[in-house]
Amino acid sequence: MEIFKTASVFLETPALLYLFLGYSIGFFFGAVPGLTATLAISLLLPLTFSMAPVTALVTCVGIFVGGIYGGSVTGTLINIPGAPASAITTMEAYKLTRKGQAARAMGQGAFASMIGGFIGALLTLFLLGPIAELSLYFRTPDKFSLVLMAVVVAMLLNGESLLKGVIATGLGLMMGSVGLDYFSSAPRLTFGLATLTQGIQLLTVVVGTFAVSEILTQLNVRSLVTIDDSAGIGKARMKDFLPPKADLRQIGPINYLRSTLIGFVTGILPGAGASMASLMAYSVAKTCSKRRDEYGEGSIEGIAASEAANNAMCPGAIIPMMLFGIPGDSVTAIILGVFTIHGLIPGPLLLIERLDLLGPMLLAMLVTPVLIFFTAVLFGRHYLRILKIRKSFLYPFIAMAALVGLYAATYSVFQMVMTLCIGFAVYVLKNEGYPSVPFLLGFILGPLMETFFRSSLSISSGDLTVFLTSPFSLAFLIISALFLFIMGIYLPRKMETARRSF
Amino acid sequence: MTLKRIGMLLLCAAIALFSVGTLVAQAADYPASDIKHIMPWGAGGGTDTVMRAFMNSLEKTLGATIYTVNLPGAKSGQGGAELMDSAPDGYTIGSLTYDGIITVPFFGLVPGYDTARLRFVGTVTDHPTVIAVNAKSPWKTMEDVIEDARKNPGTIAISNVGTGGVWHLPVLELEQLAGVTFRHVAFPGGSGEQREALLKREVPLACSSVGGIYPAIKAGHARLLAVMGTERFADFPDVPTFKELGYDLNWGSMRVIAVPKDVPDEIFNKIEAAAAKATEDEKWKTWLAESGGGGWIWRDSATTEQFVKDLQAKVFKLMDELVAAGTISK
Repeated sequence: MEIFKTASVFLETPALLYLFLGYSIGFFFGAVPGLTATLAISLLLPLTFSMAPVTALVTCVGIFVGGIYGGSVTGTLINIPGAPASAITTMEAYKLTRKGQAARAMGQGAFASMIGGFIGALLTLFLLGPIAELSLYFRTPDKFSLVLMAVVVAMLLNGESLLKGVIATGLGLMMGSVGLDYFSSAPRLTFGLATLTQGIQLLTVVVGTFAVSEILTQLNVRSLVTIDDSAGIGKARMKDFLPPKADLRQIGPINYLRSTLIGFVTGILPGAGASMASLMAYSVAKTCSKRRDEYGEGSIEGIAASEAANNAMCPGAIIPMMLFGIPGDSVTAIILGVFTIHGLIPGPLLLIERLDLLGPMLLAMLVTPVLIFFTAVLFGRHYLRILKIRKSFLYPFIAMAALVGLYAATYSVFQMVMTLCIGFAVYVLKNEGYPSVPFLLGFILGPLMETFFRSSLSISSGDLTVFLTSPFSLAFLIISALFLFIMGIYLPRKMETARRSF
Repeated sequence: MTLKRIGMLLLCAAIALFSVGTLVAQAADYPASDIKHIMPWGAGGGTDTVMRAFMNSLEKTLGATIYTVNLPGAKSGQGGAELMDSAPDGYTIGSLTYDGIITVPFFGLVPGYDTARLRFVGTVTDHPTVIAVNAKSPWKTMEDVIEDARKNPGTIAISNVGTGGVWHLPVLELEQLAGVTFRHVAFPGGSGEQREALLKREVPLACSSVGGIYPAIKAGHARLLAVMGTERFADFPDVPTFKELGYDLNWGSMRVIAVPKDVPDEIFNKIEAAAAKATEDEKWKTWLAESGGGGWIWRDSATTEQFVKDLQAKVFKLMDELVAAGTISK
């Protein structure tokens, strides 16, 4: 395979060092409650500007994967999920911690993460080529329908309230159309402001949505938990973190593989993300389990399912991002920003033309999961100390890094002001229960959707049926409609009747 | 009294001499510190890559460190405006492309943007515009296409990267000259999408630059039909020019370097001489040979100034007609 030939990068450059660095940063941000991997990457995004592209991409992979696992460590130890994706793991793992089995829970989490991440990366390596070839049969109308599907999924899956998800996505779509018309260079939605013709950059929106608004949110949060080592993790030995054979036998290869596959497929599905992956794998594992009564009381099977799935999501989410520029979740949305900073325009041809950059990135996805397990075994008993960090020192530093980084990358005071405004707006919206991920995805997907739509119509001379006559396009439209029906109408109605019968 | 006056005179002379001295010294010392290069397009793109490579060679011939700052936005208008507002001391130079010369001033995208506020140092690349087809297309020559278009007016599709843009206008002029009409399909995503559409045969023809279509030709996916330069293109000697076919079309996309208008002559001459010398640099030449695509020239300041004037006169007139006809809106 061509991709493996690019492995020499890891021997010739400090790429491996950066991978480890990225993993540590991601792990740290994932572990500290209130900080997320998304925040870590959005802070790093301006810095990647001056990095070599290979180094930048490899670092991002490290952060991505580290952040997912870091979140579940916090959940296991203090019952607060460090990242939304680890909510399910937290539920089961903290029960084990209460029973004094924190090391067992963390070890199993790390092991399942390794399995999920590694197999997921292998699947990506082998499927990326064939999917790229298949996507060469996708014409412009097909691409439009695919993006539309992504918008629909993003809209439906990310919020508690359907309507708020739709509104958040709509705001993102609107924001994406500010600036110059993509076709005729005419300014639009600029309110006559000359500075708005430069458009709103992805970087600005990312830093505003994830750094600025997050800091504002944290200002309001007073830490209620006192962190002490009630679980006795500090006294655990390395061997306690190795999953015992009995656990492995109980979980069984089928659970690992099934959860990995569920996570991977959820990753490919644009806009779904890690929380969705772990929830689905967990529910399926519960339904298929012989020890269903253990679930909710500290089930080792549940931890394995959830962790394997949310780690397998990472490599899966890379596929639509690389081939169509459609990010699978918020982290990949920011990695897309790293792509554009380095002039890499996603598309099936990119894989052939820039394999020298993408190869090492994919290989890094293969290496990092192994890193999760070994670092957990080696350093697991010290992880609790990370949580003791004083946040009053952390947040001012993060705020400064966010704005300085943004200025260094854009040289524009206007973009800085813009990012503060967006950050504040997102903070207010989040307080009202509007999700931020659909907003970002709407911002990214809007321009894609518009240009594909208008290009399609100019190819077909304005004939709208072009979206129905192409089989791919028709399939995507039908799937979007099904999603809309099931998630938007069927399930809410069913839940309504269920509530009434109580 | 007289002594005092003589004293004053001497003082004045001394001050005058001193200030002239510093001016001369400034020019003689140039460059005394790092030079900023404003790149109005994003990092990693075609123009960015080419101009960064050129700046590496210019660093050597000019004897100063040049650092590149990417200021994308408003179709390169943002970076161009920043260049116009910079101090005219020779420590800020900038790159410009077709859009900076035509699109931004024509549509008035950035207030105060005026190419008359710049002094052009020279032209680094000039890529003739070309028309390409899928390698397996039944059309063998440009005449085949035009004949076909005459029989089927308005049905044959041809791609560009933006309405009223650098690769749309040449086709409109061809339509006028040949008395045919095409169907124009815009791919704002850039030449990558054009290549993809050619490969999938979604759009049978593409109007692009040699550089834009080069990767597809190299991969065997596309074939050139005709070139819009004054003479045949060195890398593709078998491809005829439109002039040979009887259509007087002369279009291209260029990359030029410029400084703010009021840079002192001594400093300007130094930059121009160093830039001319940089095009002879072996490292630059090797880079060009490896990157392929051709179209690499050097035009000095005077020629570039004239070229910009001629281009603006020709294209603004054409675009005014398009606005009047309602094809594009201003």
